[in-house]
Amino acid sequence: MELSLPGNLFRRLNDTGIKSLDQNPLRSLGIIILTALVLVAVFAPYLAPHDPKQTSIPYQSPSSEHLLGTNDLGQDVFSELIYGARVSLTIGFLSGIISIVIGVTVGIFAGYFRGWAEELLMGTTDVFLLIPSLPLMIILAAYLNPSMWNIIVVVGLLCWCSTARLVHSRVLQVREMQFIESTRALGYSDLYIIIRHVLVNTKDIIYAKFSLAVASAMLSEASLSFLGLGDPLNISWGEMIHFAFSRGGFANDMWWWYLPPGLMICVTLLAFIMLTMEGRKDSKILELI
Amino acid sequence: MSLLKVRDLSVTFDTLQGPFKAIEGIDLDMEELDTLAIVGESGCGKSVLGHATMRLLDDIAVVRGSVIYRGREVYAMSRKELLEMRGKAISLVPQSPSASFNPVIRIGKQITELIEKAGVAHGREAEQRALTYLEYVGFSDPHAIFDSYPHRMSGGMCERALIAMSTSTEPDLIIADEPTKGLDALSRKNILDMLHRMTAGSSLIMITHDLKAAAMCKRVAVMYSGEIVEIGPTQVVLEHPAHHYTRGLIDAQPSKGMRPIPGRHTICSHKSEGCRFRGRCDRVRSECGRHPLLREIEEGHMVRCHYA
Repeated sequence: MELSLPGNLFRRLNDTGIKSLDQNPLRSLGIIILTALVLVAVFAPYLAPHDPKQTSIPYQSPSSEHLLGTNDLGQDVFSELIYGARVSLTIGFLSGIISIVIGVTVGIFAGYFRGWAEELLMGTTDVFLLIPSLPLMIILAAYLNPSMWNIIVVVGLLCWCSTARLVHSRVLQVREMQFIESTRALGYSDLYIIIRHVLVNTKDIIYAKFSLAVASAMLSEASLSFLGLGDPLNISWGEMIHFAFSRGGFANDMWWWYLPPGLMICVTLLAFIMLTMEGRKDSKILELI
Repeated sequence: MSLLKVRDLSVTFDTLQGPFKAIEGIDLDMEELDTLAIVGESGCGKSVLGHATMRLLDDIAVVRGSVIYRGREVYAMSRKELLEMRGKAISLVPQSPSASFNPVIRIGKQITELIEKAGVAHGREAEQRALTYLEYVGFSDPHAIFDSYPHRMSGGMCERALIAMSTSTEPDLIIADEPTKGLDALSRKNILDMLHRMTAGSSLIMITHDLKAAAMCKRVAVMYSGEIVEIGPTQVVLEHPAHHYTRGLIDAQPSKGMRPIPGRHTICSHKSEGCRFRGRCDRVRSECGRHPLLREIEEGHMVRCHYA
């Protein structure tokens, strides 16, 4: 009467989702690009041909010595681009983590406990959603010291609302499922049920939303930096465009200065979005984007 | 001391149409190793009674009355005591077996976790115990089931695994909510035999539509519209029913001529006074306008009818 199943090891491998990747070329491509970017960020000192802070002759055109020319201070743009990956990705990931942790916590507790907790938490979320976030970010970033950490916190604290709503609606669905009732009948505590059963059944949404949150955090950071509110000690891609804009890169048509950081931002965002792509067109995850 | 004592238990749900009494005035006594079947139509409050016994309806309904388990009032227990009692002292085998397991956790892991939570065994020992119980419920290769996800198993297999899980902590009382729902005649027989074998060391409350399944218990309680209308030893109730509703249920079985009970089960008939079954009873008299009480007509056999 039982089903005969193949060996354990094969099944465990399959469960990790590695096998499903060959049916999902978009996601594989996203993973490859992101892995490459992370490696570049980690090994920046070994990959960059120059120290990005080191100055030489300004406004040089691309050459074999300076692949993407130099900026107004004579710093190597290509090296700056490589080091910029560190800043942009760090800000993106950390803000993404902050926003996901807040959003998931709010969504899960509101959805699981319902009642006044739900009213309070989702009410707060609605208030946060009402605030136009980019202007508020600009105000906060302008009043706080221009440091990378302040940007991370500001972006993270303002981007959790959509995650909270999404997780909340999924938890409302999960909490009414039969097995949650069964687990309650077996005498498990609420916290255990939330972590072991509700969270586990919400994780696909959380993963996808995390990827998108990192992407949107990077975009917010680029916007802030482009407006000159970034950390001048840690130059991100957004700030490179800012400096190219404010110090004559655009006016002199030095595309090798402003175009590469813009392209890097696009490629990174695209990779994060591709990561959330499902093979099937009718996937629920697609509705999130 | 009796194992479980239910006194005047009533459950009221707040609905848009106003309060709705799902069960009312339920009295039950369970001794050690007793087996009781609760039968009745859909919507008569069988499952609500099962859930209310374990205090699972607190946050969605108003529950009145008392449930005393081994001398302790369930509705006065602290949250911690309650969580300890559930799964270890009283276990529920819920309806719809396939939906009762978490779909993304392996069966074996879910059983092992319950054994560890109940403090019966830990680590390897708990896993071994889970495997043993999977074997007890009739799986010839318990390792394969242990490593399976719920969606890889059929409804009958899930029911078996569920029974293995609920019995693995050796509870004193098992409440099985329609264990034969949606199974064909052969697997139904298997599951019932197995359920009785597995619960030989415990008391069992079996909620069911199925009079054949009920016949395997020592006692039967018949519920109608939120009340117990007849309760007594199985043989007496099923062979010499005193309430007209019980007789109607028996006659409605295919093997007994399949004569349906006239009329419809009016769930909201509570508002009117009098016997709740009188709209469908073929022997209504003026006396039926008064609500009958559950009275003992012979040793252990109680009926809620003026004319029994």
